[in-house]
Amino acid sequence: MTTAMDKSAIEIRWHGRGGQGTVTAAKMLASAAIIKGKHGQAMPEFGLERSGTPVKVSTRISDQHINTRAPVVNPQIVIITDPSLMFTIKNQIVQGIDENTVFIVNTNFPADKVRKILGIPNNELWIVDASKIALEEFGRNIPNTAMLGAVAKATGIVDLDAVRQEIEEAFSASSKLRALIPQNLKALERGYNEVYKAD
Amino acid sequence: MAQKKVIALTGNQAAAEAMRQINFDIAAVYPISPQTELMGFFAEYVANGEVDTEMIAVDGEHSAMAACIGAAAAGARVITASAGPGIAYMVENLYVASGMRLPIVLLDVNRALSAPLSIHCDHADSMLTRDSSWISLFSENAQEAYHNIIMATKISEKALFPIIVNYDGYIVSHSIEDVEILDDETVRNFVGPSDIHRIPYPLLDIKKPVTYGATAQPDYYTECKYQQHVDFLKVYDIVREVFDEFAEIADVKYDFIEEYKTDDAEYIGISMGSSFGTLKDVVDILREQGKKVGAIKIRLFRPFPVKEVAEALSKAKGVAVLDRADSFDGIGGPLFKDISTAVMMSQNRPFIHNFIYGLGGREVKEEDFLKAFDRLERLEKGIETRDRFVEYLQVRE
Repeated sequence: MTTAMDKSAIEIRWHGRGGQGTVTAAKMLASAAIIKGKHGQAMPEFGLERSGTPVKVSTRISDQHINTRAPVVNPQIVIITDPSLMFTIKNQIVQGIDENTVFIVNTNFPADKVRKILGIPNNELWIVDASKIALEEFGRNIPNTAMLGAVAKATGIVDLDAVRQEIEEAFSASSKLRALIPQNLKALERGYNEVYKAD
Repeated sequence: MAQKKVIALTGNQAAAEAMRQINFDIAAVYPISPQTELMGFFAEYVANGEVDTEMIAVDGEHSAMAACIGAAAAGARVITASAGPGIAYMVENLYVASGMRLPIVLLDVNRALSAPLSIHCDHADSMLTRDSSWISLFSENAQEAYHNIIMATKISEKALFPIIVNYDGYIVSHSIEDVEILDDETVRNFVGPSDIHRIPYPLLDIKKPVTYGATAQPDYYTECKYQQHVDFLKVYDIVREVFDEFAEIADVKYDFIEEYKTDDAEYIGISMGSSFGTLKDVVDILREQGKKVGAIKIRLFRPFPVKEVAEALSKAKGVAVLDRADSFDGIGGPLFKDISTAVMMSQNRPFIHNFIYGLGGREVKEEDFLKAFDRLERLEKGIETRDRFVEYLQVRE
């Protein structure tokens, strides 16, 4: 469908599970763009607010004011923060995509397997094992900051410094949270360095 | 000179920021999604000593409004916030607040009413308040929610009527966007100090004892309501005055309604709240296809800007009223009936049709409003017929 969004606008759709920080990551991505003077929007689509349930978030980044409040229907970028969703809600993940849609996937599967599961033989595909990074850096499967690093590298739509700043701000609320900043910055950098573009 | 900065905030964060800057004397609240997070943010400001506000945790929304009524009558600057069923529980006291002519700010983070239970957005909660003699503003996004709260504080105190600021639950309250924030001093100067004498007859003025909430027998009740009626009509001018004053500090000139490409529009869609942005994009899509369409947003919902809407519709052929609530009355949604009144007053009385959409958080896509415009045009041209004035969009069959 045609969209009235400005040509500079980038529309991103996230698929994750409640409790993995997908909503937070989507918001940090929009915020990192806003810090740099762009217009940004991140809209979570809440079902029941329970950990483990699939979560969908729309993020838009644009040079112009963003009017629409519709969910992203034709994403230029699809981000999958939980690999199991490729099996359970594959149809929703590939809904509205075309051959130019870029995929960024948290998985330890090889690229050809991801392409086969999602049915995207020719799309640009970036892979990062963000869950492994999260488990190694802070012992819990919260892959969001590693995913943000991967997104910064794969898309170039935000720079790493702006995301660093966002993480520092987002974790500044209490001393308990502040203690987590170094691990999250490490995860961010590892996500940036370890993500790779599949053939 | 006002200093401004653009930061990333959710609707609830932007509302909490406005509350912090205004530094209300009293916030009486009971938690309910999607308002809970807002009061969580504000409670942090209270706990950190960043505001002088006394936060009263009450046992329910009925009590929240009761506490606001007492504090406002005493002369304090007060605020509360709720959503959905919480608003419903508050309704009895809403009428008390407006009947006593008390300035109170109520944030309605719009949520559907049960049953079935839904925590998600529609405007049914706010429609419970529409005949309560509260002034009512709707916000399209976090920016407008922030601005509306600042303006509402002043409007309410000038008009001596309580005021509701609506913003859509989750769609605005929990979504992040770029919001331009004014500096604290500018906001505080704009609303002015919270001196008890800024309102007439504060209870705490012990030199001039007064009674609030007395009984009125049949010989006086009508006169009380008539005064309320006459004064509520004065709200239009007060709102315009405050909008104009606000333009000087925020560089945004607000009006009762927002018109988008209506000048030469044959078909006009009308909505309130967050869906208006999507509606504007739909207008752009149809304009690219050569269709002469436009859109109107209702910002001031009560008192209803009936003259302004009538004027804006004077040249249109057809009007699609998009209601985010149903009235279940065989006629149409609440907004539809207000717009119908405006149509009766407009020069050429355009064809009007009503669409119910976005109930209980149903996501609103461009294709939904494209369908509404298409159906409106076909009805107006006689290509299709209708049994009723109202129909539902987005029903899964």
